[in-house]
Amino acid sequence: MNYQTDFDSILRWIGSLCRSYEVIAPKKETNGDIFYSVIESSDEVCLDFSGTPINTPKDFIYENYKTLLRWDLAGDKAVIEAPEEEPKKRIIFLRNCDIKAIRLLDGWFEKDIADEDYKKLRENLILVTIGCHTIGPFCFCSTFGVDPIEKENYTLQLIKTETGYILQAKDPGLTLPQRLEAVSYRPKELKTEILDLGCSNNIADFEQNAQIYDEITKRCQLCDGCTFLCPTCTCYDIADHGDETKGERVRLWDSCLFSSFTKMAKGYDPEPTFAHAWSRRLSCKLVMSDRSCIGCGRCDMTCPAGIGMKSILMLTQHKERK
Amino acid sequence: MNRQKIIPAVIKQIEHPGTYVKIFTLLPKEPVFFVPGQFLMVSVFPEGEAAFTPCSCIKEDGSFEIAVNLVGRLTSTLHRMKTGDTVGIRGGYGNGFSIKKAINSSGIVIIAGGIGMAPLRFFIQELLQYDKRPPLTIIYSANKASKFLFLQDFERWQQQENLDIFLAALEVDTQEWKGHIGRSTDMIEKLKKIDENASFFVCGPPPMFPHVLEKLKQFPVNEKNIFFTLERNMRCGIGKCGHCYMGDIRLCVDGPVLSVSDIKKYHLAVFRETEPFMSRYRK
Repeated sequence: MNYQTDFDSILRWIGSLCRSYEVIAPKKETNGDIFYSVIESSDEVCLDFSGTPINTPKDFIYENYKTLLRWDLAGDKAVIEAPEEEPKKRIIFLRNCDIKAIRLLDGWFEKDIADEDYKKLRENLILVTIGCHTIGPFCFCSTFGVDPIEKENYTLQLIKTETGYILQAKDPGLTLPQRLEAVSYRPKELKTEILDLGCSNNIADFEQNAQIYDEITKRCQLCDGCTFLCPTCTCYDIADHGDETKGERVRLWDSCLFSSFTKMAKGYDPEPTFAHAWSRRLSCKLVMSDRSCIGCGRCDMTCPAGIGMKSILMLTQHKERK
Repeated sequence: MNRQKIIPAVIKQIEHPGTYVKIFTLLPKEPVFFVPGQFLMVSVFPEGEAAFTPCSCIKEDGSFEIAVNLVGRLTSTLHRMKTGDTVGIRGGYGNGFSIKKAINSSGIVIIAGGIGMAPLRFFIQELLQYDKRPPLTIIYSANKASKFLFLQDFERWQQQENLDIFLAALEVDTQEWKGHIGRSTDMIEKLKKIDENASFFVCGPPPMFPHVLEKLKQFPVNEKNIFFTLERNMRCGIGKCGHCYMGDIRLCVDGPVLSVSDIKKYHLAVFRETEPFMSRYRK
């Protein structure tokens, strides 16, 4: 069903949701940047922005510095246990590309041996799509078949129009805003730039693409902005904080570009050069069967050297055409 | 059974047979389950976790052994630990050696290099449980005679029928050395009656792999029946953390035991002459 509504009633609705759920939605910081944040009062919510917020939904479902376990080995008792937390019921308002990212994370954490904590968090999370009304400067999601306004696969979708907001609902299991007017609505055709993925089929081969890899490895500053801001990057490291008798083990985000990522004891490194590392990253994002780039453009937004995924795809396209 | 849960395990006994190797007998507080070739994640607080392969079957009291080579930060802390100290274990993870495949083959050849004997000793122990098993050949090499592990086991195994043992040391630095002098590849040449249904299980340092494979190709072998145990730095053991990637596979769930045909299928860079050292920064 499609409904016409206005911003005030949406805010009142979010306010009422805040009473029974933890609501996560885009929020405008004082400097104008948009971040997904936990909403305390509904007037913080910002739905009128282009592109994606700076941070990603993985901040909330796959958090950095998560305590995995605590140990207390003093005396005879030897306790090693994981902290048990009852997951909160949460609603997250997010862009369609980020929803695709969450679906990819679902697949990743559920395959082989499932991550139980992730499963619990995910079962208590309701996704609400915020359809795009304009295209952001770095967006290229249509390349990967993501629509800025979702056509089918949503339970609730909010779209800004010239006259107010459209709310599309498919069995959401939530109470809806009070002032709603059923309307017929066809979303306007919105597409981002579509890049040719065919050019990047052999991008993981750094010997054949020496020129591109020279450019990338020369420019990359190893800041890891691209991996930390990638909504589908899931590599992590495990570190212990404490001493022999008492302490905790935490999970930290890691990056396949870090120099010690594959390093083994005695200093062996099966992936010895920077080009090996970049080849892994590009293969994971663009080539592998479950390739995980969704075209949100955050890596392009953050990269100080201008080598996000979009730039790299454009580079391969440019090379192909020459 | 939750295989992700860390179980406290007490160090029951420590043997120190070689200069750099200690064998720890661990007694977990809850039962664990693993097959030969699978690995366990052993937590040494507060150094973190590392993957070790059990080198013995689970004994009646629930204890088992791991062989630990002194190579880095975690293993040096582990080497300093004493009987009665507690570590954490979880697992077993990964694909182990296929006992069914070995038993149904026409002959089993086990090729171990150095510390690589550890997982294969467990495998041999399991194979010897079977009354009807194909002929078993064990080739075990190390660069020094003093580095051989489990020699008392070999003396016992020598009594068994249908079992040949070739021990090869490159350098003899002990008085009582009774084995051959040379490399494992020299011993492979001595193999007899190898047909394409024979199965091979190799574990050792990666630079040994290309030479072993080259020698094995002299025989009419099937690449599907040659298994190598590969290694990578593993952090989570459950295929989520990404550290043990090799090409498109994750070694902790798709390995660590892989057949040569699988290694070729996934285009893995396994058969390299030398294992590269870290030189990644800005290169």
